[in-house]
Amino acid sequence: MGASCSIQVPAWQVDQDRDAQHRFANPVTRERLKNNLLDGNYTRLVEAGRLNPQLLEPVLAVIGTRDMSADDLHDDVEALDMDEGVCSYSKRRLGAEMIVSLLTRLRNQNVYNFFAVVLSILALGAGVPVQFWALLSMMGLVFSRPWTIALVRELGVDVANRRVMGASTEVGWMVTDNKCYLQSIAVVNPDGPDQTKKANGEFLYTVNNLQAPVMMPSGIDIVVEEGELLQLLQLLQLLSPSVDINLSTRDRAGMDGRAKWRSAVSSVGAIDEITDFDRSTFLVVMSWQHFFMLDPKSFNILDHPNYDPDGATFYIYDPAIIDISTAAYIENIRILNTAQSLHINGGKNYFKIMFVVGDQQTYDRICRLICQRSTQYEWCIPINGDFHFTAHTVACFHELYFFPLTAYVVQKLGPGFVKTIKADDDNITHYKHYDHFYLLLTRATVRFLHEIFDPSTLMNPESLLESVRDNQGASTS
Amino acid sequence: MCAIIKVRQLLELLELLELLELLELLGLTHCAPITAAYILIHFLFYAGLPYLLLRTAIRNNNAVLINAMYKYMIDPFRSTNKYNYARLCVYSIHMHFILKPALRDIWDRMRTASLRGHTGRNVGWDFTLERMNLEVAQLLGSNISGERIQEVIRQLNGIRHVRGPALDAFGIGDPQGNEYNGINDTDVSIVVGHLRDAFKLDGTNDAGKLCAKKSNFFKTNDPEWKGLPWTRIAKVEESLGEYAVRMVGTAPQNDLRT
Repeated sequence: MGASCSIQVPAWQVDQDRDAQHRFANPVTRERLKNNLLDGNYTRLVEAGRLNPQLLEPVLAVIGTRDMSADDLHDDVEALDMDEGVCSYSKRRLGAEMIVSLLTRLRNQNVYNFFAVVLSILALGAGVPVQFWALLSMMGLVFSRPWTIALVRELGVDVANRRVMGASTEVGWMVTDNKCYLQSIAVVNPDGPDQTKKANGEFLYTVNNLQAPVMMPSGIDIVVEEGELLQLLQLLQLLSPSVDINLSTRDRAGMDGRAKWRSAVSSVGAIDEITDFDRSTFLVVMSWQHFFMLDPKSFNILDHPNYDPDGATFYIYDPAIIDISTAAYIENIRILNTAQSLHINGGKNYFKIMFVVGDQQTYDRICRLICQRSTQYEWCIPINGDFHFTAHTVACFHELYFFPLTAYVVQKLGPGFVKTIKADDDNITHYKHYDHFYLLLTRATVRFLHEIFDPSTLMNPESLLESVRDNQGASTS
Repeated sequence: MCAIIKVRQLLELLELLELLELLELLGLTHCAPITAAYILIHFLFYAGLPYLLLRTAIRNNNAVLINAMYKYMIDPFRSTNKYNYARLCVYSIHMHFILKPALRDIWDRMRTASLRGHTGRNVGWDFTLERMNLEVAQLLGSNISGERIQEVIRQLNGIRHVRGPALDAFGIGDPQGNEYNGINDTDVSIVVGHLRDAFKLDGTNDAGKLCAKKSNFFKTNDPEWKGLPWTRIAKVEESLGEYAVRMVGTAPQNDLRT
């Protein structure tokens, strides 16, 4: 850079072609840019400030840094502190970085300033309107929209095709659900019988899918053995030759497949798990006592638990399946066949087994299909999504407690709640309202009881219930 | 003589049961003398805290507790006609049971996903897809076609890869350590205040007053009344064991079922 510009720019950010109009820069520069975006190390966001203290200092002198020196600006960790002063400091630091980045980029157009590149990608993700984007781009603040789209498209392909170190090559994990997009409105009827606007028009149905690598913490991949059940039957025949196990080829193939993921255990055990479930321990110890043992003064029962997920879960969005939903069996067959061609038969992966997560409808259909076509879908382990389960759990409790309790509380809380918490509402998209209300009621009831009873009384909910019960006919069953 | 008294007591009990059945048929069971405090604590014990436990278990990636909740919810789902979800609970427990241990471990380990890698904020996997649906819709805008959807999905893989670490580096968006949950203390105080007023508590011997309170001011005379929660659950005709056997019979299974 040297003579033409006194601003210091990292070598990797400079396009060697020095062609300001070149949309993609030379391949080496672009590759370096993409590698820096892919490697997840974003400390380089503040490189312009670090390399140009002579620019940064005057900027900071103008905008102020409160009590922090310019040297502190180089400590990225502090910027994440939630303390109000540091948060404000973080804003100033980023503001200063943006100004310096802008100057470096304006001074020399063939610099692919990392800060501006990242800002452009964030702007694309945030859906910044095209007209406003053009303004920002003209100011040199962000890159042009077509340039940014081309870059994220390349990045997206790289991310989707990247081999994840430590991931299983035997077992995969995918999630699937339908989505309906309103393409155009044909009729809007604002005067419908329930006084709500109803849109009629053209809809596009799709099934969206995502896929997550199954990480093996030990570094040793799982070995999917085939034929465990067959081996067991053969052993049985060996031990008791009188037992006649006459299996057709199809039976053997099916059994071989089924043995891939199933233990040779009786289903009776699962029934026992359900019938022997210790409801009392679950309700008293795991649930009630767990929350009542938390110190009400220092700990809110709604606080987040102390579980460290060890980073964000990595997953990739797979191509959507267009023009289908998840309602019909034939549609679910298409979903499974698409997943099979992509992840089982080598389109992208050669997994032997895949967990397939879906909502209740998808889960139910897939279970039925596995029963009907066990050989074809031997690779599929269906799993129900816990988010939908949670939403229906609160809906179930709402149904049980609305008239006995909820209706009264809702009335007391006023119109805001009366409008949203209704007796009959089977639309699960309103889940957030119900979740909010029942968390509020739960937390308030816990506090109410804390204010009334001493801690030892609160440790025994069944006695507490007995002490307030005044009806001999009431059963807690 | 003793036997006669017992038979008489039994007959009285039967009469009482018949009376209760009649009240139930007439939709008048809510007139039975249940106290408001009983219903409030019943809600907390059987619904409020178990629901919170489920949410916490998901945030905590605790497969044991999530599975326990699946077992617990079979009867409530059946009593509210959510038969699909009742069946799903049985299927899910059964599937977990018959999986090979190594695969079961994977399921338990990957029971939930973390969107940003922050402490105690895991979500169900289907929520990650709801998020995907939202992101696709946002990026699409009003220009919707099959081709555009595929294009946007390609772009999103790139955008998502940059967005998380970049926002973390900027120090914005759902920061680590933020305990915001949408329920503020003022709202909680308002609800507690309403409850205290309703129970006529003034800070002196509140426990005694609460236990002595005989009325049920939560009671409504709504024509839609379907009964008390415990009555509805008790009314489910098929026993849990019979139901589990019947449902397991239709679930994907191994051939060693007896």
